[in-house]
Amino acid sequence: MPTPTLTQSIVITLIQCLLVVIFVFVVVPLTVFAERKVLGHLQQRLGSTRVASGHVGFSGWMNRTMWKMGRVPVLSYWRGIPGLVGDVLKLILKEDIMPAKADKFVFFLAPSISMVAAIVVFAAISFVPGTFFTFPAWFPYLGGLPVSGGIADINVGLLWILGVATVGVYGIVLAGWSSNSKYPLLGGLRSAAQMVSYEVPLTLSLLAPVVLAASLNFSEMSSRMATGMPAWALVPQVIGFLLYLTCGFAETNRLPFDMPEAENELVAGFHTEYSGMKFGLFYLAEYINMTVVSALASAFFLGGPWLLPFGLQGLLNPYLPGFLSWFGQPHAIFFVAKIVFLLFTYIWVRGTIPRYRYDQIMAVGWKYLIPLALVNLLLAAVIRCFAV
Amino acid sequence: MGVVVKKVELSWLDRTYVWPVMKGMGITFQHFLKQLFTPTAKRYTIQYPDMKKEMPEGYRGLHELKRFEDGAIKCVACFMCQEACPARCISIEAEEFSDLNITQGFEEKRPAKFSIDMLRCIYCGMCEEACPKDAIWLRKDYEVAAYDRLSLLYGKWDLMNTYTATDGKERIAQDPTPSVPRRTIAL
Repeated sequence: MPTPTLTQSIVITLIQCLLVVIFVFVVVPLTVFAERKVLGHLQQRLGSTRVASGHVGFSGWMNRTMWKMGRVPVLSYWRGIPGLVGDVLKLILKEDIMPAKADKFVFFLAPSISMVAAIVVFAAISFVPGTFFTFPAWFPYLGGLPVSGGIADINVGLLWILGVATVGVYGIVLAGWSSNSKYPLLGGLRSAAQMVSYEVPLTLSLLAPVVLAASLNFSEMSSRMATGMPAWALVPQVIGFLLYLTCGFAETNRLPFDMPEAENELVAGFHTEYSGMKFGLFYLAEYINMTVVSALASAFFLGGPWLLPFGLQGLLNPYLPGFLSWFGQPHAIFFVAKIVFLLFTYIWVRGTIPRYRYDQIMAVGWKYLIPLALVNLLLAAVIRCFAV
Repeated sequence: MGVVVKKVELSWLDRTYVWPVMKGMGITFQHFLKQLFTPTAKRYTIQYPDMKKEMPEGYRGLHELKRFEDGAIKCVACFMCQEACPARCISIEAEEFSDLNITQGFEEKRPAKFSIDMLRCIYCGMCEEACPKDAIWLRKDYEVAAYDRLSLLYGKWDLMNTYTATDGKERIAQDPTPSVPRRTIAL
């Protein structure tokens, strides 16, 4: 295998960045669509089945074409999809209103901070350990070179991810503050309190895998959590998974914990004054954050690119018959499938659990989640000490 | 007097919060699957412009003025419906006509103009009950909409033809017998 020169490795990294951005911008709109459909189905509705109705524009053309083909256009399951294009077009074309008394620079800065903090996290997420694919020999300039499964699989990966993801709070708080209006300010305030409180149990619940795997490197951690754990480690992993998921919901401001944008109390919370693509960036950042949280949860608890969750893969692998060895290997498709499942869980939880009151959120965070996370960490440490 | 509030004792399993959440998520997932695998025809959702609900018997929708087989209007312009209408949306103008087979030379009465203002009508069905000849009735059509107010003022021929497409009858726009010219009485 040839070693890449500096320019070649830069080009490969750029290709990886492109792939990740494509992945994100495919997953996020589909999640938005899935949110409409799944939430609808959870409530015995249908979700979006059509774009506008009638005869005008693109959707009208689609309707007429389907009528001509002898199909009823509305009854197809996927007819809400063009609505995503419409959403994006609307966000881009809408007038961008800035309040007269807003802090102009910070108001402009806040959505970009949110967005950048959300998407940059993907740099340290590795989709599959080792090589993702190798360029074929005929490929110009890059022939025969391997492309690794993550952009930068650094040794302090988890630390870096947590650090950058926390910067996302700044986006929300600054947005709330710079709007110079009372509802956004309250929303920003709430989100500051909520996200700072839930950062603690989130990190503590992630410390259990760190202790068990004895590493901070993303792919190393996910490999060891999936394959190198004793059966005892199942307990702290399951508890840690539930804890992490709960705190992840709180960190991404999703329903049961959507205090920063409590529609019924605060209009729209921190992004009340935002419109156009600035609002779009917040919207995008929320969904990218969801994807990030799902990626971390699936990597550290659900076995990442391996098939089975909670370290069961390592227990199964010695007994796996030869013809099934494909299932014993890491594959990016498993990782993506787990991310998709967790995104579904996000919507599923949203359709099931009603919102918390604000003081309840704080009580749950400080009185139950943090002690539980500490106990879980202790358990993991004991297992690390005696069983690994 | 105080109200006795019944306190529900939660079992320890319910107090963990995790178990009730799981139960709830199971229930919503059942609904999800149920909705996903129900054929379109059996879903609760009726996708309106393309699927329409069959209205029950006795539904009071758009009116129709009934006609005889030869196309003559059944209404005798007795003004009962106009009197009965609580919204005052019916206005009738009567005229005389002769059908020699029936009337043997005596004049009969029928509406020259019969209009219902659909914007005023409250679809209460009083006109149907008041009518001695069963000449007006309210039927199942509920899509009464137009782009301007004037086109919602339904005239005699509009009302006689409201359900021609549904019943497979032919549209008519003329009485089978001409009206008798108005006689002025010289005093």
